[in-house]
Amino acid sequence: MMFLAAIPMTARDAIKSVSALTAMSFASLPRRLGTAAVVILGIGGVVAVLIAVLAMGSGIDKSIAGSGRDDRALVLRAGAGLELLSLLNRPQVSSIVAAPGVKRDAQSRPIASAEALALIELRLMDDTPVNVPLRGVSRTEVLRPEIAIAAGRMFRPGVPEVVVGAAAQSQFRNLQIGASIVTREATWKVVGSFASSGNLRDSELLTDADMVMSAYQRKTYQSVLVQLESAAAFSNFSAALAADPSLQVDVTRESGYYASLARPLSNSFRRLAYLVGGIMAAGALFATLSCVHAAVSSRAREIATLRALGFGAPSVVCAVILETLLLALTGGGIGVGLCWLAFSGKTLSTSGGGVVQMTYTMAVTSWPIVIGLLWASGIGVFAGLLPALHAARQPIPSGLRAI
Amino acid sequence: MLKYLPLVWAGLWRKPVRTVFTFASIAIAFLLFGLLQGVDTYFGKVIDDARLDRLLVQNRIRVIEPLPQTHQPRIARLAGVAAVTHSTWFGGYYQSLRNFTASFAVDIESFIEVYPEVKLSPAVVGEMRRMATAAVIGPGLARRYGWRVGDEVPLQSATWTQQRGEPWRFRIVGVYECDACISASLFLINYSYFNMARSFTQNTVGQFVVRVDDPRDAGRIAFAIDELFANSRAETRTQSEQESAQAQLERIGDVSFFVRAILGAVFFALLLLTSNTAMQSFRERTSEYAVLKTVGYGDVTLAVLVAAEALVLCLVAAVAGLLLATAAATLAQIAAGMQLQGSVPVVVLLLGLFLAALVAAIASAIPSWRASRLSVVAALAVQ
Repeated sequence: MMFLAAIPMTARDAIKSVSALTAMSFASLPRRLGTAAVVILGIGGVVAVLIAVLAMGSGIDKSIAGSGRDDRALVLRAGAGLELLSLLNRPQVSSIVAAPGVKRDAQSRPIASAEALALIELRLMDDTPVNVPLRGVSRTEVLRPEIAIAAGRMFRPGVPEVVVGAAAQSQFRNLQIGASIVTREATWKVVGSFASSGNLRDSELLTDADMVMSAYQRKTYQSVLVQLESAAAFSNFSAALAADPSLQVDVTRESGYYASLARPLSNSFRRLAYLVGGIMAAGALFATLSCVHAAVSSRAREIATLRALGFGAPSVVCAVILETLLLALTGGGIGVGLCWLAFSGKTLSTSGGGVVQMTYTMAVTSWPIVIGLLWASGIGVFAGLLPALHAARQPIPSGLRAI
Repeated sequence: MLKYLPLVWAGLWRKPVRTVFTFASIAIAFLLFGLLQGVDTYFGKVIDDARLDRLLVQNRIRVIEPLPQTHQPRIARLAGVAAVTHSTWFGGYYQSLRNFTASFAVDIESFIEVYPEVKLSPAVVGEMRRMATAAVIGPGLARRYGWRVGDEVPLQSATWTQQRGEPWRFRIVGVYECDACISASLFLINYSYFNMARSFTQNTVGQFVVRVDDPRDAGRIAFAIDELFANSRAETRTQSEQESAQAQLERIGDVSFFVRAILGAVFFALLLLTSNTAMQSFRERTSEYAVLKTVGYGDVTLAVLVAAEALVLCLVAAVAGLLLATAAATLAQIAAGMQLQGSVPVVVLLLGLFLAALVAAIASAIPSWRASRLSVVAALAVQ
């Protein structure tokens, strides 16, 4: 350390000597290919797994939480919690849509949809039976402008016609336009397909609410979705419903309802990502430490010589860290690339513990990528630091004697 | 062979820092292996444990749509049916939705006939029959909430709300014993009481569970049951418990693929690391091996020495990692209030040790081949 103080260094000198040392050690890298491979692939694996699982979490958030909007409110029977478990009768529906805060169209009719949900059994491409929601809606073009017919046409009210979501169409059998879905209650004709910006509606089938009611001989709807005058009108609407003693209902913003559906699932994916990724990162850290330590100690004489020539210990430390960091980032980059190629836009589905199959698309977005690269840099810097300090502390004469 | 152990040991500690880091890295890989493979094997076990002689009869149209109770005697009359019971999802939770319990309304007498592994004393069954609001719980629940016989437990139900949102109150009259049963955390209440107390869909049940005399007849009986109710108001779909468990796990997602992909990446990296370490350590010690050869160590002995060093390192690290995994799994199960399932299965531990040996063998293949072919003169001349 005395040696250090003897040579005053300007920042430019420091950068010059660090880059000279880094270039020199990179020049000798081909002789240490094994080491480089361990660091790059070890860290690449960590980053790939971390990003893949995080992307599943983000995908769930995007498709499920993205299903709701702030300026729409969902009304369910008090305590039902889930749309499928809720029941609302016609008088209740009438008072809900008449409440203040509900937006009205030019003819002063409330923009709202009383929805009836049925589950119909469809088969996945591999013939596994799954329950898929058939959602009976009304005024959906006005209420849900995000739904766009992609092929065919919209269903007509009063006839057993359905339009199918894009994700449902690609996942389940026998949903092409013109196909018939035979259930005990009715024979539903597929007349069109729609896209709904990748949210939960995309894995559903839509039809006319009254058609579902009559086919299933129901007297109750499941939920009411209303368009609020504005996002701020929610408290007004909610207070009005709470004040009506004949209504035992829960009111949530549509966005809040879907966010609360998605959160447990996406959070558990996130926890899984950090747990598995964390354990892998610890393993990669030790593997990198082991390799860098070995590399540095095999270069003990070279490093001692450099220091004898006048390169300062800090430059040596920086050069080792820089080299490890570059290797780690290369690994991280490979991990990101692999993930992006393999998983971006990949459609998965899960039951998420519920009765209904949910489809979501993995979202390899910037956030998981940034986190992955940050982890890679963290491992690189830390795994470079310890061996570098060790090398820098070595007295030069004993370094020169090293074999 | 054992007399070489001190030599192998000394070789490992020649570069203690590197050995410690490599050891930690291998141990962590096996920790992950133990946990992930353990989960995968556990799921497989759930499917294997699910019984072939039990059939689940559910509504054909919607699993959550109930079936009329009147189906039961008709199923019971079918030849080959040993016992029939029914269960209805109560969906109870304790205090908050976070504490969801697997609660079902059942007829306790036929329930234990169909699920003989759920063990209840006749006194408790009698108590269930006498007291309408009685409940029987599993050991997992008793442990998690500290509930004991005689306690009154308020449960809210998302589906079956009472007037003014009052919770349902049940008195615990017994804790069933079970080994290898479907769940150690069931909350069972009296169907007769529940059926009278609820305000809609009375006299219906969620599903029937049928135990058949001979599992080989299960397919035929399942078909006969569905045939019985074809074209009725409530058509059924009957499948074995095993089929149902498999379908449910498949719907969660492809766990096995996930586990295999991660472990594949981990072991590939591990193989690189151990190969690199073994190669480096061999290179550094070429002259030492030459000396050993000079004093009379044979080609094979040297090769074995090099391989043994890798093997000892991998095996000791693997044991450490697998022990950590076992400890972590046990802690996690205690924290979740689950019945201990022997944490990491023995099969997984054995597979882990085998993999450790395999990694060591591959990693040391080249160095130990080189050690056996070492030319004393050339190696000593390097210095």
